[in-house]
Amino acid sequence: MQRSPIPTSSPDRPESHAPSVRFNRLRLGIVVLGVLVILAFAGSSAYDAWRSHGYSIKAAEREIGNEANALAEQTSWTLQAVDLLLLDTGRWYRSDSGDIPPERLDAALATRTAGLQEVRQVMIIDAQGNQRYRSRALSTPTLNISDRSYFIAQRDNPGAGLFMSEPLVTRSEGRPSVVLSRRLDDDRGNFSGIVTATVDLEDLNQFYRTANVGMAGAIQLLRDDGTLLARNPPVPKLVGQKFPALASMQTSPGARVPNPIDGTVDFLAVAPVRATHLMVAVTRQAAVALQPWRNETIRVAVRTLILTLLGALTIAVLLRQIRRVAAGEKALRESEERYALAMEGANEGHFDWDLASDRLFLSPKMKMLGGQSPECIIDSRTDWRTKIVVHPDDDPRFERDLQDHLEGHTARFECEYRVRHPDGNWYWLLTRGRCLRDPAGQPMRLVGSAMDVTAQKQAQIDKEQLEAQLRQSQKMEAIGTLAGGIAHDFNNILGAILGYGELALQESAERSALRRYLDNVMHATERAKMLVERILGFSRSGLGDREPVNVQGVILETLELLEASLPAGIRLESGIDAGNAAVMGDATYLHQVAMNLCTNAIHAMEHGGVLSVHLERVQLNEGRTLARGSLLPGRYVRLKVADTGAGVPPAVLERMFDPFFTTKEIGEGTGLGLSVVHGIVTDLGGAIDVTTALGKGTGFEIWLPVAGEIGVPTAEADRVLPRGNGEIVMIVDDEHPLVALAEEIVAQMGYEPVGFGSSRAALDEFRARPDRFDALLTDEAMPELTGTELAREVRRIRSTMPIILMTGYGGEELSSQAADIGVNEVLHKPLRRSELADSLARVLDIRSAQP
Amino acid sequence: MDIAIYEEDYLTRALLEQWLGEAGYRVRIGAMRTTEHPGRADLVIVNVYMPKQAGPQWIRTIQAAHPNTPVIAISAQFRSGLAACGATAHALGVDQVLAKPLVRADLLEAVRGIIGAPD
Repeated sequence: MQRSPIPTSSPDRPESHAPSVRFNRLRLGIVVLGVLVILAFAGSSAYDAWRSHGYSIKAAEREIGNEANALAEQTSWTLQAVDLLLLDTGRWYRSDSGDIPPERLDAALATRTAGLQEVRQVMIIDAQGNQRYRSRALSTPTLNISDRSYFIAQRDNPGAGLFMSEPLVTRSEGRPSVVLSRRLDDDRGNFSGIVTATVDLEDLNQFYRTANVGMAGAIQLLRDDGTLLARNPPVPKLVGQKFPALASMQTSPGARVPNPIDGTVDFLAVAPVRATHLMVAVTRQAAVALQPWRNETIRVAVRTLILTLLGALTIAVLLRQIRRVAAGEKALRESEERYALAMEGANEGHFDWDLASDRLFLSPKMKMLGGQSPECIIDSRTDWRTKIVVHPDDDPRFERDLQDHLEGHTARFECEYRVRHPDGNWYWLLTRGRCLRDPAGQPMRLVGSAMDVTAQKQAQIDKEQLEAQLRQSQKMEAIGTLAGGIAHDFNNILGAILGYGELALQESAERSALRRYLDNVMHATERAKMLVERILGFSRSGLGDREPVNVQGVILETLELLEASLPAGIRLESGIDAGNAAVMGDATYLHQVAMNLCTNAIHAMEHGGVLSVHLERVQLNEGRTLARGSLLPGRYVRLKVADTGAGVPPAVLERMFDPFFTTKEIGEGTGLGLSVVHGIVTDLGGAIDVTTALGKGTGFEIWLPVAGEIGVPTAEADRVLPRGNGEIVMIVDDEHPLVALAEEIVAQMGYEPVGFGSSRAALDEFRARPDRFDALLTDEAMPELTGTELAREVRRIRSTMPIILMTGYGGEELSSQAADIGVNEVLHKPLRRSELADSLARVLDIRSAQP
Repeated sequence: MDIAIYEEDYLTRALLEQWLGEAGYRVRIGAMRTTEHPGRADLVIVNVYMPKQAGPQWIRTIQAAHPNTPVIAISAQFRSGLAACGATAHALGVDQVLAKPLVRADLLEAVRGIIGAPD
C-alpha cells in the first residue's frame, strides 16, 4: 500500500543570473557614454578656449605691432623733418649766413626752427666745438661741446650723416633731450663745424601720450643698443639706461617678455624707425591683454562645469533608477525564487484559474501532482478536467466543494481527493485555494496550491485501522471476560438444573404430564448448555486441549464434507498445500473454524458462485497487522476462504466478529459463528484478515502459527468403510446446510438420502409413505418435534424402523430416553464419517465390506 | 472409598454429594481456600475457577494437601468434549478433567475409572 511520493524536480526554479549581468552592462554603458559626452563637451570647450587664446594673442600682437609701426613711422617723419631742418640750416649757414650779421643770426635760426615743436634748440657749432649760434637765446654763455659724442662723431667721420646722441640732459636748460647733428663742411670739404638740433624728449613723449596704447600698455623709444630715450607712461629716472631686451627684433609670435622697466610680463612689438638707430617698442601686459579671453574662458569653463555637473547628475539619477529597477527586479526574482523554493520545499504545486476565459496556469509540479508530465500543455480547466482522473468517489465532492466556494459559501476552497497516475496508483491530493472576486462579488480567479498527502492519508488510515483494531480487541476482551464469567456461573446453574432435572425425571411417572414437562425442561437446558459452550468458544476463557494438529488433514476433511453438500450453482475451487504443518490446538476447533467460514461463504452466494479454499505455508519476515490481530515474523499456515458473493458492507465488516451479531433472519443463526472463529483463531495465536468488495465477494484469511510438523493420522482414513446398497435414508435436521451435508455423505456411502429441514414435514411424509424409507437419521435438537419425539412417532407407525439419533450434547438421560423409545444408535456431533458409516451399517444390518 | 470435594457452588456440591452418595461413596467436603484438610481421601474432585490463571496454583495447593491422591478437575470453563485424560489434564497435572455442566453418568464413569466401584 505504501507508495513512494510523487517525485520532486526543480522545473519551477527560475534562471537566476542573466538579469543582473544585463543590468551591470547597462549601467556600465550609461557611465561610459555619459563620461564620453562630458569629455567631448569639455574638450570642445577647451579647444575653443585654446583657439580663442591664440586669437587673443594674435589680436594683441597685431594691435601693438600696428601701433609700433605707426609710431615708428611717425617718429621717423618727425626725425626726417628735424634732419631736413639740419640739412637746410647747414646749407643756409654756408651760403647765405654771410649776409646776415652775426648778432642777427640767432634770430634767423629761431625763425627757421619755429615750425618744429619738438626741436627746442638749433645750434651752429664751429670746428673747435664752440657754440657759435643758437636759435634760442640763453642766459648761459656759449659752451664748448667738443667732448660730446655728436660732435666727435661728425668731426672724425665725414660720412656720419645724421647722428643722434644718447639721451642727455641739456647743459643749458637741464632738460632730457637727444641731440641730432649734421656735419658742416667748408668749400674745400674740410670740417668746419656741426649743426645740431636738440629734440626735447618731453615733447616727444607728449606726442606718444596722444597715441593711447591703453590697457597697461607702454610705448618706448629706444636706441638700437637698447638705450631708453622716451617712454609713455613716463619713467624719467630710467631714461638713458639700457634695456636690450626691449630692442630685440627676434621675438617669436605670441612670446611674452618680462618687462625690465616695470617687471610685468608683456607682449612686445618692436618697429625700427627708418633711417635712424631708433626703435619704437610697444608693450602690453599679457595678463591685461588676455583678460577678456580669460573672462570668456572662465565663463565657458563655468558653463561647461555646470553642464558637466548636470550631465553627471543625470547619469547618477539614471544609474540610481536602474539600480532601483534592478533591485526591484532582483527582489521580484528572489521573491519568485523563494516562492518556487517554498513550493518545492513543501512539495506543492500551484495553479491560477481565470474563470471568465477558463484560462488555467499550472506549475510543472502541479501537473506532476495530477499525473501529467511537467512539459504537458494544459491551458484551460476544461482541458485539465479531461486529462486528470479523479477518483469517482471523490469527484462529486470535489466539484461540490469548488462550487460552494465559488458561490461564496466557504471562505476557502479546500478539498482532499484522489487522482490516478499513469502508473495506475491513486494518489491523495490536498488542494487549497482562494477565489478573487470583482466588486460585485462575482468570482474572477481561483488561485491556490496542491500537495501530495498520500503518505499522510495512508498513515491516517493505518492509524485508524490500528485504533479500530485496538478498540475491537478491547471490546472482544471485555465481552470475553463478561461472557466467560457468565458461562462459568451458567454452567454451574445448568449443572444443577440438569442434575436435579434428571433426578426429578427418575421420580416422575412414565408418560405422565410431569415427565413430559421435565423432558422439555431438560431439552431447553441442553440448548442453554450448548449456547454457553459456544460463548466459551469465542470468549477464549475456556480451556481446551492443545496438541499438534495437522492442519491440512483437518481442512481436507472439512472440504470432503463440504464438497458433498455444495448447493447447486456453487463451485469449489481449492488449493491445499501445507504438507505436515502443525498448529497447537484442537482439531475439532480447527474444523469448526473452516466449517464456519465455508458455510458463511456458501450463504453469501445465494445465486451461485465460486467458493475458493486455499491453504499454504507462508514465511513472514516482518510483522504484519491484519484486520483482526497482528502477526510477528515467523512461519504460518494461511487458510484463505473466499466467495464471489455480494460482499460485506463496511458497517457489517466492522461488527462481523462481534458475538451475537448476525445478518441472518432471527432464528436462522445465533450470530456466534464468526465470533467463535475469532475466539478460536486468537486462542491459537493467529490472526484474521478480511477483504471485501461489494458485488465482488469476500475473502477471509486465517493465519495460524506453525508449531512443528505432524503427519496426517492415517489409521482411520485407510480403513475401508462399509457401504450401503441404495437403501433409502430419511435425514432430518432443522439446519439445511447440515441436511445437505448429511445427504451428500450418505449418498457417497452408497445410500439414497432424502433430506427434510423440518421434523414435522418429515413425519408427514413418513405417515404418507411409511415403507418408503429404510432408515431414519435425525438430529435431536429441533424446534417443532425433537429427534426423540419424531422417533417415538415414527416407531408408532412402524415399530421396526431403524433410527439413528444425532446430538450435539450427550447425557445419560437422553441416551436412556432414546433407548426407551427404541432408538437404535445415538451419535455425537461432530460426526465422523467412519462413525456414521459404521452406524448405518449396523442398523441396516449390513456386513462390513471386505477389502 | 472417600472422596474429597472442593467446590464453591453449593448446588453443584449438593448434587455431587447426592450422586456420589447414591453411588455408595463417602463424600467429604473440603474447605475452600484454607489449608484445613478434610482428612484422608481416595480421590479428590476439585473445581477450578480460572483454569488459565489461578487454576494450576490452586490444584497444586490441593495436591499438597492430598499427597499421592488422584485428582479430578472440574470446571465451568473447560470445553465440553475434552478428552478425559488429554492434554488439558496433563497440563494441569490432574488425572482427569470434566467440563461443567456435569453429567451424572460421565462423572460416575470417571470416578469408577480411577478408584473403582465403592466397597
